[in-house]
Amino acid sequence: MRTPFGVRMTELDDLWGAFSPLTGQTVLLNTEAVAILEVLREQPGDLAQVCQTLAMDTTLDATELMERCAHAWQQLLDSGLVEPAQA
Amino acid sequence: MSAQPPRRRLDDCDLRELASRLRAGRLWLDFGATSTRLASDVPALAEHLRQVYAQFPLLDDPGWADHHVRILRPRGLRRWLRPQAEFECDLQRPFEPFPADTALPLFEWGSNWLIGKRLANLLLLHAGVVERDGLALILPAVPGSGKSTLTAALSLRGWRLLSDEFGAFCPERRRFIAMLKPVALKNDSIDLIRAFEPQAPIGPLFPKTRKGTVAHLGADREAVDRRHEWVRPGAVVMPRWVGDSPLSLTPQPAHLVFGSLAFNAFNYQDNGERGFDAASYLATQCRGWRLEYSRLDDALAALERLWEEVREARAVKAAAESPA
Repeated sequence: MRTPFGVRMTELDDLWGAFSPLTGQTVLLNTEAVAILEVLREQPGDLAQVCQTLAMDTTLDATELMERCAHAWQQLLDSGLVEPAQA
Repeated sequence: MSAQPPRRRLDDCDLRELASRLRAGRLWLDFGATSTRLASDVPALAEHLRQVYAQFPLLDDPGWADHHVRILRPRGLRRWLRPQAEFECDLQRPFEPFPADTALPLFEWGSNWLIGKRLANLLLLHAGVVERDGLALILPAVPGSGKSTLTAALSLRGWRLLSDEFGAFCPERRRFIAMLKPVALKNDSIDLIRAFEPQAPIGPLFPKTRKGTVAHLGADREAVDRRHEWVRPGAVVMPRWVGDSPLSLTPQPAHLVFGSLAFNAFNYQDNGERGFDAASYLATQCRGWRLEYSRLDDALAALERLWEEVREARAVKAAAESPA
């Protein structure tokens, strides 16, 4: 999976607004979801791979991050903020 | 340099002349962000328009109108039995007929519908907008929250009215422009505004419409004459009328400001990333508050105090950004 070209984000105090050019949807995201998008912008991968990358920058381990990010991952899929890397 | 001839306004126009212009399709109404050419054979409409568009200039063939609207009495027996009026634009009649004596509300709702459908170049926030000190106070709200009542009251106390319904924001210029239509007051808010300002130019009452009793507050002369001026965004206040509640004015985080603008806008989705960028700009440039009020005087006093704060903050920011 990857972050599609043209995804826009804006910082709104504690949350972030994000716009998907694929679906035209706007959603409010928490920091975990935005971190996933930033990682996927650099390097396509699945949630486990993203969490491995994020774990290197946090005190949390990848398994714990997977639990914390599972809901955000689904939200990103539903709103078109991530897409299959071969698309 | 020759002096400009005094501009004629609808208020200066003889009713017979106005009715004649309407029958001939020669009435142009320029709301600021958009304009309409209107034709009608409904007898009462000329007088009602003259009341609520009193300060609008009487334009002689300006050469262009964005919308061409006709408010017509249907032919056949219904022309005589409980007469009706129909809204027509570009030969389409999108609504059921209204009773002929409610032609003004039909024109207002119909033209608002056209604006919401067609004005894709602007982000149309569901918000009242007023101006002071060159900055826009944006009042986004869902229907029934007292937005129009508060906007009307502000416009009667020295704030320049831009709109009570469509906050028209240009994403490229990053400025607001007026969508200057009469403020639609409903039910209790009509008497509230009459009591608040007995001289308020409120048009006729239209009882038993689908929104209850409706009346329209006309814009004042300054608002009309300055309707083409672009205005920088200043602050966002989300109003909510709550009966018998004490006044509260609470700062709001940026994501709630964003949501109140984007998710209530008429054409946010149609604008795609332009809409997102515009709402992001507004939410990050403007501070936001939630206002709960039950008394108009209290609400206005609180907004006056707030505006001092907004103005000072803007001045400090402008000074910091200007080159030394």
